[in-house]
Amino acid sequence: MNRARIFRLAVLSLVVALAAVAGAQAYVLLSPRRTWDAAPTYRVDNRGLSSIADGGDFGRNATRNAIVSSAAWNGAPTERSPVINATVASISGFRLGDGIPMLNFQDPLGACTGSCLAATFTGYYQSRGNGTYRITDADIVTNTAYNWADANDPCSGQEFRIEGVMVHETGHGLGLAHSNVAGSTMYPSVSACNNAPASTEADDEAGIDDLY
Amino acid sequence: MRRWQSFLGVGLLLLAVPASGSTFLHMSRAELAAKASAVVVGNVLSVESFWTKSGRVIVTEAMVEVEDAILGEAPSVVVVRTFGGTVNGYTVEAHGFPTFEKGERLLLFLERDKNDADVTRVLGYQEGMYRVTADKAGREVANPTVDGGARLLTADGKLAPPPRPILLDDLRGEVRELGRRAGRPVN
Repeated sequence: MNRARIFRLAVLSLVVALAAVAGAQAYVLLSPRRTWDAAPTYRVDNRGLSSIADGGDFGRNATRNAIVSSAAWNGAPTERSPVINATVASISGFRLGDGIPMLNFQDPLGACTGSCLAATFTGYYQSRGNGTYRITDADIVTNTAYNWADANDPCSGQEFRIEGVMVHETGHGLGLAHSNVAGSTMYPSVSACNNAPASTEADDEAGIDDLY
Repeated sequence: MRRWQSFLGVGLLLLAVPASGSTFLHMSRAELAAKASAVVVGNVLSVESFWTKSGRVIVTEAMVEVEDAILGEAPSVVVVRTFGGTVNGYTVEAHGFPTFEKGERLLLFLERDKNDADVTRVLGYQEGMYRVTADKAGREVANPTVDGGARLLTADGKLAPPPRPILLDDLRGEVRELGRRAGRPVN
């Protein structure tokens, strides 16, 4: 076996090994690693989204319920206290860095316009001293120029399901980045009317278990 | 040997770590060229982050010296704003938004802020910004800045294909052609 062949085999082995590692740990944490000291309580905008025709709730309770559901972040297999709470409330005084995580159904910052559907902002102080960071605030804004739907609003094929998108976005707020596991909540793709991301998968839950 | 280097590159890419994410609808370069107030190539002279007057959010402004306005009109120096940044050790990270560094060379699809005509932003978020570097042959390459922070969806909800590096001169030519097709005056 000549040196070139040995080198090729070595490179191929390395590629296979790297692929195996990548596949085995598919969830990805935000970098630098960051967590909350205590479960955040998101304020879900009590105005709701006017494009959601669900009998007057406008998606606010559907969103809140999806975020705290045991089918989402609070259902990770490790027994523990909830990692996220949510309440439907006024989000007046919306401001980043105020320590009050808010899910704003509008965009007072003018940050999420044009091609943006929903934008997540996280704020964090410097290191705790052990190489990790403490999240002190995380806020989400929404582009009302698009049509949204929830579980109680028949989806015509053009709307995005608010529950799935917001469970995904709050996943970022908890410290998760995008996963490469298709079908997971943190996979970076969702089709119109698809609400599957509202229910976390084993990969998402492993990520939350790692963080909390 | 080059083939095996490519395999190694693919292997390393499998371990590439995306940063985080917001959700955007994909904009093609044709859409960007049609909607941009200007498309420019320039160098970042300075970068500054600060809290907005409302105190609601940290924004970052890059002062870009315009070398070439490919489409539209642009001053010799344009101040481009993005959301997020670090002030006094406090960081607001705007996932999937453009970020700037002093000294870098950029191709930018620009738009005027809909809420503040004095503010210029990058159209299409990270899809509207390319970092220009030189390849081994000394040719300028426009590198897409889309990272794992942007969840890009097509109109039917599928994941949009990631943009690829392109020679700067080719991209200039493409933008001019797309501008002509959109009925825009080309510089």
